[in-house]
Amino acid sequence: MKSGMSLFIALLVSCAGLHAALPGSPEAYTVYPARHLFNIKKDFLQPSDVAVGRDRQIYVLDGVNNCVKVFDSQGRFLFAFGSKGSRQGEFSNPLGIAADREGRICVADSQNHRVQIFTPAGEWLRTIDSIAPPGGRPADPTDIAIDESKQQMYVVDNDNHHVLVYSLPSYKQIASWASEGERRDQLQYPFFIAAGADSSVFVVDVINTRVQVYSPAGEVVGTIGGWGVDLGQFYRPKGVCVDPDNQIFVSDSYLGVIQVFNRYGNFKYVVGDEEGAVLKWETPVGIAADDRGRLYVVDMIANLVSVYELSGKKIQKP
Amino acid sequence: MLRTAYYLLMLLSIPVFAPCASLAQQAAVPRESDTAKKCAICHYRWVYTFFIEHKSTPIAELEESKDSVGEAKMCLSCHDGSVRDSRNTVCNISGHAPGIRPSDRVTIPPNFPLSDTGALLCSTCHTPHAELAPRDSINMTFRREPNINSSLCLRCHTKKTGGSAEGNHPVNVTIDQAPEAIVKAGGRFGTEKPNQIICETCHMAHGGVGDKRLVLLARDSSAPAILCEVCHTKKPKKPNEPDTKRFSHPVDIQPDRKVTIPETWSSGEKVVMSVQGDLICFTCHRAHYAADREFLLNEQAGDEGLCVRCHKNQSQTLKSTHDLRLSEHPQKNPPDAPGASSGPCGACHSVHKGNGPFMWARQLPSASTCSESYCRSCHAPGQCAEKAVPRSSAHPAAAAASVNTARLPLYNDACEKSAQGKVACMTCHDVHDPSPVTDVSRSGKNGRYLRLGDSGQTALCLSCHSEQGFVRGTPHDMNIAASGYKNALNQTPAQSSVCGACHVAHGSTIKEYMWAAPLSTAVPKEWLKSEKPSKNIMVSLCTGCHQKGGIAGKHVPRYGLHPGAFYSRVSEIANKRLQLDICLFTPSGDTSPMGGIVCSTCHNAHQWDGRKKDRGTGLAEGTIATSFLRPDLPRLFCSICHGTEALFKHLYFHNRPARTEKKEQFPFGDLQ
Repeated sequence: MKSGMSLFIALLVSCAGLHAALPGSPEAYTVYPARHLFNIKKDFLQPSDVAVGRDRQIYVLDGVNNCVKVFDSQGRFLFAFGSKGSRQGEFSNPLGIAADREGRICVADSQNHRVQIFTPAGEWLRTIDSIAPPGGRPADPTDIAIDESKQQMYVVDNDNHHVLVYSLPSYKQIASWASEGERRDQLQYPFFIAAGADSSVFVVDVINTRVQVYSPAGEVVGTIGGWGVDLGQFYRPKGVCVDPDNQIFVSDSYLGVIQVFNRYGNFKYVVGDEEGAVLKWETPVGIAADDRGRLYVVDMIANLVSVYELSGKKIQKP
Repeated sequence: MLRTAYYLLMLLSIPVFAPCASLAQQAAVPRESDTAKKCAICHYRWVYTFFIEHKSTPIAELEESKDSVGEAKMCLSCHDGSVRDSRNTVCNISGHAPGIRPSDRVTIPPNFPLSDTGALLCSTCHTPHAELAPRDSINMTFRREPNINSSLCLRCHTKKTGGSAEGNHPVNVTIDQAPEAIVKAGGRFGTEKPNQIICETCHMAHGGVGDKRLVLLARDSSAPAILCEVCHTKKPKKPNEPDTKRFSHPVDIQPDRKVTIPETWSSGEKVVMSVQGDLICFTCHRAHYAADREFLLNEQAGDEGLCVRCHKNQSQTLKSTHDLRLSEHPQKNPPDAPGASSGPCGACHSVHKGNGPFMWARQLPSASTCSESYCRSCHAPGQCAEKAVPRSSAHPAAAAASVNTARLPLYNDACEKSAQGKVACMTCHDVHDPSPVTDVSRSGKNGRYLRLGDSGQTALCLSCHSEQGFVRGTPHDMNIAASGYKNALNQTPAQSSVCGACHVAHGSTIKEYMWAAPLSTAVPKEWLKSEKPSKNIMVSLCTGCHQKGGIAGKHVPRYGLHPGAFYSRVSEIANKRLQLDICLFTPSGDTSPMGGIVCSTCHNAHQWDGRKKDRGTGLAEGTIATSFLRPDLPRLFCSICHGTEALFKHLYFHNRPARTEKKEQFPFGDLQ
C-alpha cells in the first residue's frame, strides 16, 4: 500500500514536470546587442584565434598560412610575422594566441609542440617547449592564457587532455591539471582557454561540451554550459574570453553563436544584432574582448575576423 | 477500505495522466543518456531537442529531414584543431574536397554516400562506423573501406587502371628505387611488391599540390624536384646545366619562338605549361586518359598530331619526300619503329631516345661535319635515301667575314646553331620544308628543301651574298644575256636562277667558286702577243666565256693580261702605298695581298657600275665607268701602281677611240 502510494505520487510529480517542458512554449531570453564595426580580411586561410595587444593592435593567428597578421584598431593591415617551419619564429599549424599586459604575443605553435613568445613587433623572444606527459602523446598546445596577477601562464595540451601551468617570469612548468575523461575533474579535448579578472581560469572542454572553471590552484570550481542546442548549452564550444566585467563569452562553432555567462556559470545572454536578432557566424572559433567593449570574432571557414561594439542595453526576447 | 480508496484515486487520476502517457513513452528515450550524446555529437538531427521534441531553439534551427552528419562543417567542427587538426589537408584544397561534384570519369559506388546535390561529402570516403580490423588497416582515418595499395581510390576512379593499354600511367608496377623526393613529400609505395607504384605514389587524397593533389610540384620548372622527372630521368636536369641536352625533347624551357603552342588539344583539354610558361612533361603527356595510349600523349601522332600541333613551321614535311611514311624503304629507326607507324616525325626523331642532338632516331655515320652526318644517315648508299645522294658540295664551310650570315643558321661542331659556326648542310637546307617543289607529278612533294625556297634559289644565295645580287640585269645575268646558255649541270638560266648559271652548291666543275660555267684552258691568242700567261684560276673563270667562240666571244678585251700581272712584289707595294683592297688573287683564286693582278683585280663581275650599288639595267655597252669595273678604280686605275701620270697615258693612249668617237665624258674630270 505504501509503495503504491509512492508510485502514484511519483507519477503525479513527473507528469507535472513534463507538462512544464511541453514544446511550443516560447522561451524568454536576453540578447546582448553587438554593433558591427568592420570585418578584417587579409588572405586568411582558416584563421583560428585573435588577440588584442598594445595600442589595441589586433593580432590574428592565420593558422594554415602559419603566420600572425597584425592590424591597427581600425582593421588596417600593419605587418605579419612567421612562416611555415620549425625554427625560431616559424610555425606549424598554430591555433591559439594571447597577449600579455606588456603586449607580448604568445602563440600556441601546435604542431611544433611549443609556445613561442614575441615582442609586439613580432620579434622572437622565447620558446617554451611543451613536454608530453609520460606515456602520453606529443604535446599539442592549442591556446594560452596569462594571469599576471598570479604570475602564471596556462597552456592547453589538447591531445593529452590537460592544462599545463607555468610560473612567470621563469616559464617553469609547475603543474598540470586534469586527465582524459568526462568527470568533473577531467577534460576531453580542451581547446581554448581564458583567465578572468578574478584569476579564474576558463577551459573550453570541447567533447564534454562545457567550459570548466578552475581556480588558480587547479581546483574545478564550476562548470559552464552542457550538452545540447538550447540556450546555455553547447554543441561545439570553441572560443572563450572574459570581458572587463568578468562576463564569460563562449563561441559555438557549429551552432554559430556566442553566448554569455556570468562568473557562476549561469547563462545570461546570447550575442545578437542591434535589432535583437541572434547573430550567427559560419564557424566562430577564437574570440576576444577588449577594455572598451569590443568583441572580436574569428570566423574560420569564412576566413575573416569580425569586430563588434557591445552595447550596454540588453534586449529582452521574445 | 484502503483498497477502495486506492482504486478510486487511480480512477480519478486517469484524466490527469492520460496526456502524459505519450510523454512517458517519449521520456523512455534516454534524454540524458551519454550514449545518445555520443551519437548526436555528429548526427546533429538526433539531438534530443530536434529528434524528440521536434523544436527549434533561439540558437538552433530544427533539423529534421536533412542529415548534415557527413558534411564538411560537421567534420571540421572537430577537425579544426580542437580534436584533430585537418585544416591543412582536408579543408584547404580544391578538387578532392567536400562540395565538389564527381566528374563523369568517376564512378561512385552505391555505398559511398553523396550529398543531396550529388557532391562529395567527407563521409563519401570516411565513416567512423567502418567495421574494419585491424585498426591500423584503416590508417586511423576511418576510411569507408581499407585502402590497401590505393584500392579505395580505385573504387571510384575505375577508369584509371589498366596501364598504358587504357591510356593510364601504370600502377602496381615496380621501380628500382623509391625516389627520396617522393617519399619525403609523403608519397607512398605499395606493399605487395618492392617500390610498387600505386595511386598514392603520385597523389595525396588530401593535401598535395594543385587540383590533382600531386605529391610534388609538376608545373613549376624551378622546383628542386619535379614529379615526373624524379622517376623518369636518372639525373633531372635544368636548362642551365651542362647536360641539358639529353637527346630528349627539352623540357623546363620556354618554347622556341618558332613553336606554336596550341591553347587546347583536339580533346578540348587545355595545353598545360609550367607556371613560368615553360614546356613540361605534362605539356605533351598526361598520366590518365591519354589520347595516345602507348606513350600517354595528349594527341596521337599523325598529320595533325602531337608534334605537328606545336611545330607547325615544320609541317611542310608532311607528304614530302622526307615523310618516310610514304617511303617504301623497309629500313626502320633504332627503336624498330618503321616510318609508317611512328608518325611523320618518328622516323627521324626519337623524342626521348635520340642518338644525338635533334633527338635523332637514326644511326649517325661519320662525316666531315656534324650536320652532314645527319643528312648522310639517310642520303648515303644503302640508306633509305640512297637514290637521292647529293653531289659533293664545294661551298666553303667557313663563312667569310665579309658575308652576311644573319639570315641563315651556322652550326658549331656540336650541331648547335652558332653565329660563330660554320656553313653546313642545314645552313642552306631546311629538311622540313621541301620548297621549292621541283616535281609535283611525283608522289610526295619532291623538292630541294632549300631555305627561302619560295623566293627562289637566288634569294638563298643573296641572303648571305647580297652584294653579288647586283649581277641581276647586267650582261652577266644569263637570263638576259644568253637564255640558251646551260651550266655544268645542263641547266638553263631559268632552271638554275641567276647565281646558278655560274655557281652551283653541288656538282660544280671545280671547287673554286663552285664554278659551273665554262672554264677555259687557254687565254685568248691576242693576249699572248703582249704577255705570257701564268696559270691563275681566276683568268680561266673569265676566259671560259670571254674568248672567241665563247658565249661572251664578242666581249674579249684586246689586252687581257696586264704586264707583270703576277708580280707579287708590285702588288705588295701597291697595297702598302695606298691601303687599298685591289683584290689580288693567288693562283688558286684566293684573295691575298701577295696575289697577282687578274681580271677580277679591276673587275667585279657582279656589279655593272661600280659607282652604283644596284642591279644592272640591261645589255648596254660598257664604258670606262661601267664594264664591271670596281668602284673608284677607273679614277685610280693605273695610278695605284704607276703614279698619276698613268691617268694621262690612259686618256690619250688606252681609251682614245672611245673618248673621241663616242664623245664620252672623260671619267677623270677633275684631272682634265
